Amino acid sequence: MIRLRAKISSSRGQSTNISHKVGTWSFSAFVILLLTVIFFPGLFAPYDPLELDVINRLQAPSKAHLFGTDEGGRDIFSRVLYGTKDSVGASMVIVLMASGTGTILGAIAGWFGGRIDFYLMRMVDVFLSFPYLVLAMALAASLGRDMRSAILALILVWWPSYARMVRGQVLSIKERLFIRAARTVGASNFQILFWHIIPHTYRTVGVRASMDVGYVLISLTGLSFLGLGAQNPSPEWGLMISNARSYVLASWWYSVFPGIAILLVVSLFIYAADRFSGAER
Amino acid sequence: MAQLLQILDVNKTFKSGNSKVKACQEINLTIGEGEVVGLVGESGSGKSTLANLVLGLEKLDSGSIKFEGVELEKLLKDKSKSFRREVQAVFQHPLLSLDSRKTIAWSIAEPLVINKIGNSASRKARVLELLAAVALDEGTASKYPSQLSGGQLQRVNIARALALEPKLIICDEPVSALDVSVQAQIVNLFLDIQKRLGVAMLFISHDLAVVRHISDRIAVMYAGKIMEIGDTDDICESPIHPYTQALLSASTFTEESDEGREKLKLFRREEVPQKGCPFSTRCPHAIALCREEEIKIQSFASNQESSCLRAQEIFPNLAKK
Repeated sequence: MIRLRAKISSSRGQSTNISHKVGTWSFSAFVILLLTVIFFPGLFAPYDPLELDVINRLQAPSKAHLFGTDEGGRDIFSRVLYGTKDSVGASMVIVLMASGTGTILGAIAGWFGGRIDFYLMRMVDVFLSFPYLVLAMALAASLGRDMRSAILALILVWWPSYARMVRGQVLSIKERLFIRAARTVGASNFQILFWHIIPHTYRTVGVRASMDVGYVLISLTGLSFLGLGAQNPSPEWGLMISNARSYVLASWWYSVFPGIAILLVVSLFIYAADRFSGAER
Repeated sequence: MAQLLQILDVNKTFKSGNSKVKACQEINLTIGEGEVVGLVGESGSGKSTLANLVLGLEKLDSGSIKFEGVELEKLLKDKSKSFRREVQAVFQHPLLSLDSRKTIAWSIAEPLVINKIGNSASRKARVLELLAAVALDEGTASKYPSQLSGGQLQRVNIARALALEPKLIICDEPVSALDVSVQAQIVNLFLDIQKRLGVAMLFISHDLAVVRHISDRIAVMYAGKIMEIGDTDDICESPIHPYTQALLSASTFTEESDEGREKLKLFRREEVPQKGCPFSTRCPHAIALCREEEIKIQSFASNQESSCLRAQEIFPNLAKK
């Protein structure tokens, strides 16, 4: 026991390595579970999420319907599981696209500097100067009221913060000696960017992205709640809560369970990202 | 010996706000094919700036640098990148000059990939060959830079520089960051490589003992100017510039015991004067003329060149060419 502790504390590198691994493992396990539910909701859901069963409408939670049923008699548990794809899956896609675009544009701005940098960063400033949710609402509404336009709107709203963060990092990375060394062996601008500079931003972008999945989920379900995203009869969580508004007093389960799902996923993503970033240091 | 690299009247000044630093002034230096030229001087004398200018990492203010008779500017614009294949570099910090996220094998193969040489199988073989050439075992290939020691890392950097079979290697203080015992190993590795491949080198160091060991010729720099150039033996045995003399007397490589050796005392380091010889404020032989007249490099017999105005007075048996 003593030996073990000595081993762990003997080098700081080793002990951070262990907590790093715990953070990474718990995070990956959580993401894998979510992905399974997203791609194979049928494995867990007892009912078809869209099948109406009007006789059993607004049933309280029971053995047959774990989370109760909605005004159409549809099983809320099944709907929450199927809705993972529209809510969490879409949020992941948004973050992936936004962080990818932001990283590439930010890296280009930071590396080339000059006029490219100026125009890209002014564009970023314009996006960031609006309250993001208001901008997302305006964009989603003008692009047409469906899921696709909500996703597009959120990607448009989210990439600038990545661009700014990555640009800052690139400014310091590009002064490092191994970049000079790459130049002296003849690497082109794009080879240096994609082989040497962008890989060095993966860590911070990764931590930021995992946290952002939570924030994007709130915004996306918010848009759906306002009728700017998913449309009926999709089992999207925000839309379900929106539908449940008229039944809040009589049928608490209808709005509470999708709400808990949102709360759970958002806080888990933010907590995991926090652990993750702590371990990175 | 055919001229490989010609540095002609090169000037480079760095400006920040109101202050100007003249990093290189009127530098003239040539390197022949297969020749090793040592460049010594204390820190801040402009040695690394000169290396960066030759590598095209900085732009020169005036003068010209020619490689195989062709203007550097033209070579850098050339799409075929032949200059980048023929001139390689080894830098001072072995760890910082490698990408920490890439394996050793990746870093050594990178020059080959960039210049589209061979396929992945032949590159793999070449990497192992290069590792053997710098006396590292095959297991090193899959490691990351943080797992190796400074000496091993510098060997990796040398292997990387050799990957493209260059004609010239610019070594910018390649051993300064290493342990003294490791320094000797790396210098010997450079010597061995030079003998086997006949590659020319510009070997920069602040340590005359190291430079003496490896160079055919030595150039001594002070405050952006060249003070003295000559064959290694001449420079080390009969210097014709007071600054070289002082450097030698402070060096520890002489075999005779320290007792009989007289250390030359210099005046305290002050700001470099705007006019006259930059060394005049520290030189024990300086007279009023030294602070007035611009220095010019002069050739003497025995193929030595010195910029000291009073060279013939200070070193009486010196014959002008």
